[in-house]
Amino acid sequence: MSPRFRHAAFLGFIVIFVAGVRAQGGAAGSQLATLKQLSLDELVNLDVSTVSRKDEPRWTVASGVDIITGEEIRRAGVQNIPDALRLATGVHVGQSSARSWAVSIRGMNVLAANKISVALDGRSLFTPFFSGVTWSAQDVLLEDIDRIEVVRGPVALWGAFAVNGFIQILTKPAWDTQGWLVSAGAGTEDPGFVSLRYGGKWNENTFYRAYLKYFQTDWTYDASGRRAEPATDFLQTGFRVDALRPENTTLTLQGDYYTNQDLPLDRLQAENNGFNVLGRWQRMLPNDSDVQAEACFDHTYQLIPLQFEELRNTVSAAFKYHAVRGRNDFLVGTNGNVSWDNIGNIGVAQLDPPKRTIHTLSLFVHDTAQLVPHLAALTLGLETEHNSFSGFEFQPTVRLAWTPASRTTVWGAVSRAVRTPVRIDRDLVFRFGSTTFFEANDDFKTEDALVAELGVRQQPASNLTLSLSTFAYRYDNVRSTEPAGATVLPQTFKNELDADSYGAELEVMYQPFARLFFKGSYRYLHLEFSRDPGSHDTTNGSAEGDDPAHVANLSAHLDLPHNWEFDTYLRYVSALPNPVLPGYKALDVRIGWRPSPQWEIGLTARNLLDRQHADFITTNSLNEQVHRSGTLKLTWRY
Amino acid sequence: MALLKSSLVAGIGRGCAALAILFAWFVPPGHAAPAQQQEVQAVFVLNLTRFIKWPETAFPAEDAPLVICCLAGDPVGPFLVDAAKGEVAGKHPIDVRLVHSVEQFTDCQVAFFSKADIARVTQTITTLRTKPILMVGDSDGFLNLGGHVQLFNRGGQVKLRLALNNLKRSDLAASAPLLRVAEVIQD
Repeated sequence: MSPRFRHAAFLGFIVIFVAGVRAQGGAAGSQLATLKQLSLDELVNLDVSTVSRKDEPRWTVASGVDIITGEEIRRAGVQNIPDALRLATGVHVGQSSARSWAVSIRGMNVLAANKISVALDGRSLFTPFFSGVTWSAQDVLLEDIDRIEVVRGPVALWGAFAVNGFIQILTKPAWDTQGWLVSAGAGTEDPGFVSLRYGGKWNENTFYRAYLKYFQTDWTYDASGRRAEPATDFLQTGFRVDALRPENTTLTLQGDYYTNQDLPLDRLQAENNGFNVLGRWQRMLPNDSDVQAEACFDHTYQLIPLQFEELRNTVSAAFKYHAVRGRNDFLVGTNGNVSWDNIGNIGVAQLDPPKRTIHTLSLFVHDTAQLVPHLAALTLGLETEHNSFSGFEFQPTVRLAWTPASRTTVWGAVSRAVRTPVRIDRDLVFRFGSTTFFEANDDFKTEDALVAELGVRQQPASNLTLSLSTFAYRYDNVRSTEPAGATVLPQTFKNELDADSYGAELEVMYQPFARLFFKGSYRYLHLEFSRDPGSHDTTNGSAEGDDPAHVANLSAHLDLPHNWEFDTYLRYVSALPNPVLPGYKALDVRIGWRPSPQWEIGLTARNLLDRQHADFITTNSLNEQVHRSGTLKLTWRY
Repeated sequence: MALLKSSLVAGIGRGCAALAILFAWFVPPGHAAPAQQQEVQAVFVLNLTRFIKWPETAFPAEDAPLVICCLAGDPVGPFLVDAAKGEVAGKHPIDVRLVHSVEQFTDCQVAFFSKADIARVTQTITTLRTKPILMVGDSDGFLNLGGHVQLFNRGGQVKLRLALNNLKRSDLAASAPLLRVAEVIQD
């Protein structure tokens, strides 16, 4: 393409965009009179726009937020949580094998990414073994997801680890999932899958659901296209009960069991199984206050062949009180957990001691004060915690939101966030015969970051929203690998890496017609590691993060007559620096048809642009490629 | 590096060109933005007052206002206020109230609950379900909780779902035109 054409195209784009927005800006907000003339018949057949995010309470929040709704997940035809997370602005998902993913926000992405925190219905999905999420063990009936909230930047309320962001997966209450749901299908990379859910009620105020899902994942492929790992499968079942009790009280009890062992396709592989139970008590108090208490037991088991076996039990409890008083919106809470593990040291790398009981106890206060109602709000927050490894920690945050007009929010924040030590940071040992190659030590301390953020949200027209957030991080005391003493061996973990990052996340949502919706997002990241004076680290941060500078997504959703749906997803991830991996572009397409309210048929084709590509690369596990695939799914609801 | 930069610029150029074509295609000059979901919902709520029959006891006087309530901060609220200006339902002038606390819903004839606030009002719905207050909402399980009319999206349009037994329990009745356009749930 010639530069002249390029510039002309760019100019044309700006002109058309501005003209379109102006034309629509003028038309917006004056349709009520016309709508009121319509009959009920005409109203139910009127096409409507759903984009307007301006009205959501989150519009004025002083942080970068994206929400993936259950409907977006359905439209994307995704089969697992990491693929659903690809839909969110600013999230980088890298798949290094059929059942392993690296997920991060604002960089520092590795399989054991330790700068984000993830929770499902209030239960932390994080393991203090390596301070990350074992994504292959995290599942849920995707149809039961109400929304996934992705907050970019430090979220002190969720304790240490939510340095770069926080992901919260929330499932629907049981009264929202009444009746039968059966879905099943098959695909070139998903040989077979089936889900079953039934929701019912015991009485007018007590609702329940139970579900079961089973799926198979096909062979994976190496770079030359040869088969790498055989197919595998996974089974999960669970329930949720929601009871509305007197005095504005709601009780919730939920639990899940999952395994990939002793199933038809079981083989020598990374094994996962576990179960969890969670109870929640919530009471609405007068004057829009509410109080909530929650307790959870989580049992997890994972086996990484020839390396580790981790058996872990965690008991956690949380209490929150929220109140609105005059101009203040106030939240105070406490969160505690005790986790005991038993590590089977079956390889060269070992954890010493093999058993440990650790705890975290945190207290947080958060107040948003309307300095000038509807114009400026100041949020002050402080999380303080005590944990087994590093003692007391503090995470303060100051956030300011300015809403000069109902369609505009400008916000800024300064925060301090920490990533506290976990098991491997203190207890990892590599021994071969009588030689110790690596020995972690108790001097490893907390990694910390000072974070500045600035963002703006703007709705130039009723069917167009723009959101831009920018950030700068100064990480200190990041984990380094270097000699413990004067000799090269043994090596150990120290805190002698630093890192600086800056970048931006841009999100555009546009609905030119009621039946056509675009969402575009782009993330830019510059991340650079440096060493403290005297450090002998040679990894240059390769174990802490391997991040693309550019991650871009563009999706288009079209509703066609007779309940046909057409969705396309284009994504671009630029090259990874260390270890090096070329960037890739991918295109997914879904065609859906709902012949009746009960039935839905969806055909999803993924990674259409190449036969296979490497999505992510790691230094310490299998690196396989992602294949082009097609999946047919049939859903029945009654 | 220069090569990378020029290919990046070319890539951005191509992207913009593609977008320009898309926008040119989809945004004909003078095209009006589609009606927003919230304004359509507001008009539905207003229309429902004409197709629902309340018991006489629901109003303190024959010409007392018909009060539509929704939480202050509800995205549909401002549209309701605008839509109801000067409107009447029979002898009842329509009055929209943006209430600040859930206790205030007991004084209304119509209550609207957005999905955004549903966690806050779940208990309120169960308290109001035996009273002659028409409850309209847009969350999935709204009718299971005792709500009367659910507004839901299908194929980019807002549709109505009506729970007959819930209406009966509240001593409310729906008229024929409403029953014809709505999806009716019997149990």
